[in-house]
Amino acid sequence: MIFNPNIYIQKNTSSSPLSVFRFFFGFLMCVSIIRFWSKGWIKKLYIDPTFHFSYYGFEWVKPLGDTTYLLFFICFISAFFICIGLKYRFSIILFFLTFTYIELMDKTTYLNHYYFVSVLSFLMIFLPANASFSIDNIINKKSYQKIPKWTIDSVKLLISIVYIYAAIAKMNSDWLFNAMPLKIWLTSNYDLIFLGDLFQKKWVHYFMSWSGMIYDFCIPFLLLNSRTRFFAFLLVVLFHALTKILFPIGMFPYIMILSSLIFFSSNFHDKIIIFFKKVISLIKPISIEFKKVEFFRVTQQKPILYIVSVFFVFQFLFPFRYMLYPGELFWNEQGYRFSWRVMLVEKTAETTFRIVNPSNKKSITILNSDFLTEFQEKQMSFQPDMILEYAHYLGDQYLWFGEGEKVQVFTDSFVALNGRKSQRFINNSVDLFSEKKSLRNKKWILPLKDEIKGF
Amino acid sequence: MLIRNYYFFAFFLILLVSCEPDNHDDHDHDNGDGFDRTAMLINWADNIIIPAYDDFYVSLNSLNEAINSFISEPSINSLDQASEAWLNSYKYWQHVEMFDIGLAEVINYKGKMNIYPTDSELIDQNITNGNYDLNNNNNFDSRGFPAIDYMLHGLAENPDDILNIYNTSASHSTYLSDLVSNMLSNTNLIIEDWSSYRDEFVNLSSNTATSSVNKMTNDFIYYFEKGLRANKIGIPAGIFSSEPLPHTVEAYYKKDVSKNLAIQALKASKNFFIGKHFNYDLEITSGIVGLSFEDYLNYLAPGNDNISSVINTQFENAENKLNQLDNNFVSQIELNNTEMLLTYDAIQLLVVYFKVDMLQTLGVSVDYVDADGD
Repeated sequence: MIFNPNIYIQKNTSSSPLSVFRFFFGFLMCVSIIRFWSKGWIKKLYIDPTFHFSYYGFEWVKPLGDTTYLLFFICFISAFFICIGLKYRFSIILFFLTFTYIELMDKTTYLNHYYFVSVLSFLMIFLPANASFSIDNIINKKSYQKIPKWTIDSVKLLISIVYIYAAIAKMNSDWLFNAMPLKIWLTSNYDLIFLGDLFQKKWVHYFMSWSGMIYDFCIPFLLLNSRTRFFAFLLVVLFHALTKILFPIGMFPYIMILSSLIFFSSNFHDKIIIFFKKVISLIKPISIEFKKVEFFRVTQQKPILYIVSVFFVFQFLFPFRYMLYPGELFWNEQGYRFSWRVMLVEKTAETTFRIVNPSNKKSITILNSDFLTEFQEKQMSFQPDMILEYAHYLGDQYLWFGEGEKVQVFTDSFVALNGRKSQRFINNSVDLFSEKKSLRNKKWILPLKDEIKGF
Repeated sequence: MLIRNYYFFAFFLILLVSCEPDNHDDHDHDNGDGFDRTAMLINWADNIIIPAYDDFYVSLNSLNEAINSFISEPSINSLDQASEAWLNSYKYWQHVEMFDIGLAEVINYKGKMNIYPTDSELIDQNITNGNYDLNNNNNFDSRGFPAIDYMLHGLAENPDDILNIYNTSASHSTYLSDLVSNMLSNTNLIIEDWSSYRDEFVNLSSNTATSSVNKMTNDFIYYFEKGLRANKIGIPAGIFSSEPLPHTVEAYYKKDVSKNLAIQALKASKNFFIGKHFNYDLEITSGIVGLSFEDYLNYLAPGNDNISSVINTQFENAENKLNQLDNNFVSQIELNNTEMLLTYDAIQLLVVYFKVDMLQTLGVSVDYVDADGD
């Protein structure tokens, strides 16, 4: 049994799992956008703030004022088209672009599951997810029963990466040996019926920490194996239901639960499709004749395979970029994002800024609420790149204070990490206004006075 | 196989729907984590908040009487007595300002009682026009204790001239008595409301944004940061501006009591933190101590040098710094502002301990973050 890539890429499989996956993905994205909109978050997160935190290199991506609503609307329409499989390739590209643009508008709202949606939709651009069970079939009068196996496997691989990397990230002394931060989060859920009392017990904190790590690590393998799949799916549902109860994580549990269905057999997905077709014909009987084509041939398969391979190499390596930085990752967060580090740290922080006129030494302390929303202030307070970006913004706002000279911006920042006592976070004698924004190591972050062992 | 598939599909749909996160139980579970939050809320309500309001109301009534006798017979003596009653009531006020919860929050009670610096021009205008509604928020800085401060100590340079004004202008007397009546009626509303609100307050012991523990925690920290640290010390000392702003001290016209009021405010915060029962004698140091943040922190994070002991030590440091200041903050700022800044730093450190260490340890849901996390 030697793995031969040339033979592997020739392998075919049923198209139904990927089509059902596409359907659920589009559906959940529609729901997500409606939910986001109806909660008033577009206005609150993207229109109301006067200042937005940008990603390095993407400073040009900004909210578009009232046009931001149009952006969300386009994103919604493209998600709907993906769901029904109409103009799929065009829709998924449009969805990827609009969704990613939205995520890049303000770093404050970064969430791993938004990043997951972005990378997944990028991958789906290259997959024939409309091969069956789609409006495109009706338009083209063609439906495909088989698609290349690698296309479905690539989705499975991406989901597996998310889980396994999340497991690796939990292999550290805080998570496993101090049950942190779960201890804080579970204890504070004292008001849950039945579970509230249980969550006060020390052994429960450790049990949940360890089982969370083992769950994340094993679930891809259990889903891959047909004999454990049913059990694994039950675990997925239980686990995500629990996170849904405990944490405000929005649509993430639903996305992960429905995503894991792709591991199921084509038989199972055929049944889902038959079920939906019955429902549809109940509403409006349709009988469309179209040619059932045996195999979907991916045009330009070679360049697409190159792109997908590069994509996965990137996915494998990028989360480890933190190794290029000295110091404790959980503390300085250099290389923290885009790495499937989900719910690993509890940080509270208080960060204030002082503008100093270097010639007469006069200073003004800034009220962050004058420039930031409370949500932005909270996120900024413990993330060094945001602290620096905001310091530069403040420096620009207070140029007049220097009376001709360049003002200095100092910060008093205190952070508490995973139940440790607070300690000073940023060197308060460093003028942040003269520190350049870059991906290089930020020497002005004071080291954590403790050690967290592990990944 | 088919049947099984459908079953578990249905099963997980039911599970998902039943897991919508509104099953937080707002009642009864006071012993969830072994710490009796309801007992803490009872201590706050019955032994601190309600007695503090009651005694404040008594002091406010004395102020009302003193002002009435001053108005009916203006003299240096009656002016002094009114001034004394004002200061006395102002001290009690420091023990209730932080309870911006329930009706107090709804009617912006603290905004009706203690916004300073007061707008002396607006007050003069109101007196001249005779047409004003003190409950209207346009008058936010022409009412409450700071306005009375101006009316008793700031109308003229010396007491004789002030007496002269009251002897010749009835509209000044009316405004002064309207001020104190307005404070009395609003305080009366709050006290009456607490008689019914008390049970609701005590029963909301869960960990949601609207529960009493969380709201009170947020209110306490907000008060400490804004009402105490910024308003009493930071703003006058020029922390948030390029120059010190001595005219923004509390009790600007009386001048020599700003420190006294700040000491009461710090004491009130500390008493609340440790859960000390309110005592009519504001100067008393002993007394019964019930459940509060200190005990909660000790329960969640025990140890000799735990966060509650760090906070207690820092309270002492802040008190020491504050005690060294001049009674008159205006002269302290003008003569040696560095001492003010050092006091600010000591109090700011407490803000850090509250906002960072205490909030993390308590695991209180913060009320402002309405967005998904992960």
